[in-house]
Amino acid sequence: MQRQGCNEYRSLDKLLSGEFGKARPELEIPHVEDHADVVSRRGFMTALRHSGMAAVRPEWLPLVQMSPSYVSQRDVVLCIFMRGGTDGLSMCVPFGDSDYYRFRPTLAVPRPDSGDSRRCADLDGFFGLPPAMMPLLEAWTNGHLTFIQATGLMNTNRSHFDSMNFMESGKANDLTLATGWLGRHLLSSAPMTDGAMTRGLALSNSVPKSMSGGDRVTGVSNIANFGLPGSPEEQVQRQSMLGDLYSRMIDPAKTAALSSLRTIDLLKQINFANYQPAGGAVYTPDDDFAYAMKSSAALIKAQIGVEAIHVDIGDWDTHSEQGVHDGHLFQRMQVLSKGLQAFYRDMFAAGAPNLTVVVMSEFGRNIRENGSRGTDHGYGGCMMLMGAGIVGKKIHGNWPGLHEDQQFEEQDLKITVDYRDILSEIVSRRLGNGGNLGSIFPDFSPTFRGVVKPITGQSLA
Amino acid sequence: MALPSWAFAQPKQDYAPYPSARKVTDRLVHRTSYGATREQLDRANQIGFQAYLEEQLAMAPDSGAEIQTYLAGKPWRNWSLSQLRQNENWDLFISFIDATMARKVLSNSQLFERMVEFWSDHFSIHYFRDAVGSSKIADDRDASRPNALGYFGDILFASASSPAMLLYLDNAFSWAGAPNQNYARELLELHTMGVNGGYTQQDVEEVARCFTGWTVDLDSQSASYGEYIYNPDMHDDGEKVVLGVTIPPGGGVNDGETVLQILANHPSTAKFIAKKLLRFFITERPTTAQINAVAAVFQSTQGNIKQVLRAVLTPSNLMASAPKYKRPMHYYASAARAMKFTATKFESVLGVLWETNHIPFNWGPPNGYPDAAGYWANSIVQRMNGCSWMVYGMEGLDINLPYLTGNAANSQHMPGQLNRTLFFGELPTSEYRSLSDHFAGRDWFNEWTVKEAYLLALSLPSFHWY
Repeated sequence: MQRQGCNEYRSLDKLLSGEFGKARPELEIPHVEDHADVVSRRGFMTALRHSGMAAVRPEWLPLVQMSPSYVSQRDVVLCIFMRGGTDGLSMCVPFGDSDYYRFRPTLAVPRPDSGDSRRCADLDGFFGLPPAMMPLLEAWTNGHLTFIQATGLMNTNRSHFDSMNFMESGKANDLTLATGWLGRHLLSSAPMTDGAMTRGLALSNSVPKSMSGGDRVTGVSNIANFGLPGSPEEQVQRQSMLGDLYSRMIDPAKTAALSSLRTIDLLKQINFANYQPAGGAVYTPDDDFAYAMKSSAALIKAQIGVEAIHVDIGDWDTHSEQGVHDGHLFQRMQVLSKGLQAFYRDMFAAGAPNLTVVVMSEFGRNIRENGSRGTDHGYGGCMMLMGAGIVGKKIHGNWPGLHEDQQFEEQDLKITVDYRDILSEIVSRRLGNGGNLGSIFPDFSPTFRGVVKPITGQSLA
Repeated sequence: MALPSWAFAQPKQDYAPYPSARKVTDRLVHRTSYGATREQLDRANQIGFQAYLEEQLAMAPDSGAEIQTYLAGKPWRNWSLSQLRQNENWDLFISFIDATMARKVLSNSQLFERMVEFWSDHFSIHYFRDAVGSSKIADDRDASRPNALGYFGDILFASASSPAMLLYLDNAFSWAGAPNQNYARELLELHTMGVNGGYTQQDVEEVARCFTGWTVDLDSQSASYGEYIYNPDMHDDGEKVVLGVTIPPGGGVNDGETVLQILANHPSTAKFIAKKLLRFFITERPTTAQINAVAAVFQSTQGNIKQVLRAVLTPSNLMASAPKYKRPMHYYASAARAMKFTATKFESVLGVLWETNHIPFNWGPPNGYPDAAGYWANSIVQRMNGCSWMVYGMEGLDINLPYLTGNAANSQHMPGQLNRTLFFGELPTSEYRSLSDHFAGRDWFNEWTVKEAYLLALSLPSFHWY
């Protein structure tokens, strides 16, 4: 059987990065950047109320009432998907397994007691944090970060496409399931905030598979300029006109259009341009992932009813010259961990927020490094969780070992924990929707692995 | 502070963005094209409903000088599978999508193109799954297009033996003893009988056995590299029973052909295809009576697609039709058609199709891009922004400013002008009034006024429906 390898994925990556085709016209297209004129809407609403006309308030106007203090019985969930198949053995290093060093002669991260400058930091006596991930050590030490090893999607064929598709849909090998697990969670739960305009936001061009089918979900590539096209001075007027027309339209166009138009207003209220991170957090400038994390922090802290956020981070398909010590994979892990560190400091500066971060990838990579100092598509990988509600200071999972007779199909790390066990536990204990697990993960009976604590009412901010 | 007019809007009756007064011939043009043009509407009204329908059904693919000229620069159209395979790269994919978009916008064979899209979704193949790649280009050329207005049995057979389909649904890797059921299941569920069409899991397993050996030559040194081959060594030659029909042992490649024949003639298939076509052209919710009428024609004509379309596109069906929401590709194509772009390249449209998740042949699951407003309506802001690229200028798409401006001499003339060029005089009163309010009292008028006016008009609810 001949397979095409990863070329198709590199092409997809090109698609995902949006670097093709769209020629920028010479004239700069105006974006919504200055929101000063929008503020007057509040004054306008007051005027409406006083004039007794509130009853004819256009129904597309924002519904959310911002409350200064806010207590939730549920977590906001932030899902980060590492596209391309992340090498879990480089991210959460099994230094306690001697076979790791046998199969990875050039790509293994040295033991913590090795004296090598490239050594990992000991996490639990068996697993270590590689130098590239050191920015996350403080979250680990505080008990707010953990890994699940040897996890993933079972019964896959090592195809990026299938694995992402099935993992996000929440059901293996069913190509016809068009909605995603997170989408079905939103669809089957009451909004966390009454009257929320937008419940699920993907910080990308479109709604990813995991969130599709969800209640009030929108994809926004950049929260700072999500708006209608056209000249800035007429933005408000245009939006008013379209809002008025769409509010009289039939469904589903009506609800969807109003939801999108409200999201424009919703995002304006955040005043993201002037957002000041807390806790001395520094988001790396000109870095897409850091920008997405900063956007996420702003969205969550604004408490505007967004309860699920999706972020993609790509380029993990390290077939050759993997560069765990100083090359490509090192850089990817740096981007990931620095972005998460800034987000962690920002979000945890005022105490423990009601928030769970899930970091996952479609599969892990081969145990053996290949002839070009890279690793090919594998099977079991690792997940990472961050949050105040996780059970920290330990690595979760059931290590199957790397020895020849312990491998999956004589080449890969086995999967001993179905990734849905982890997500089911989060949905049940942190998102308060355990009653609907059957529809969120169809045909699956989860085993809770004790990765998160049951939620208690905590202040978000 | 002067309150804007919308603040006083009284709650009104929901309105459907579909002019109920639209005449039947105009409806036919709108439903069988990627956006009507003035010329097309005039032609249809001149020769009449039936003649126009027959003209469209009889028209050769890629009719018209514009599309012929455009396609002349696409050498891969005549490449063998082996050549396509050997030239597999990103630019080839872009060129293929570019041609696909050009055909939707420029070809005079509009109904044909609509049917190509229908079959592309019905026999959906994801270009980027595993080894599929440019074999999808051959599938489009050799399976979808030659049979788009032919017989269902023929397109079913062409699809079953298409390398792209064999690779996409894993049949190429299905052996005797360990058959892969992926293709067999979708063949029954999505291509023919429908999920409740009356087959069992046992049938799926038996069909999978029948198709073992239908594979693809993946030896890059071979003369038939990339092509469909039947490999008897992979075939399960035992007896099978499919839908109650016994297929005797030793049938070889005939086993699969027998299955296709059974399925093409099955009454469930007739109903399933009838329903999908009615959904595609008439309404998201066809009635049982409508389905039965079309299915009867399907059965009595052995799946003659032209006859089936005559039964779908009847005056009574069209007059009872519900508004249909343009999918993104349709939306952008209709904007390009109505605005009469001068196009040298459509590949820049790929960017806006990406933002609305509607790049042709890029849908993951085998069920094709959804044909439902509820799925697409969420990306309305992305749609509107995509149009801004088109209006302000995209590489290879030149705006026709004199045509768009027409006789408009000031801003107050723009609502009327937009109503003529984009809506053929059918703009609903509420939207017309909103445009008038928008342009009232504006004393400037220039190129940018015109462009912004089009941008706004393309955002109006009515332009998203057909």
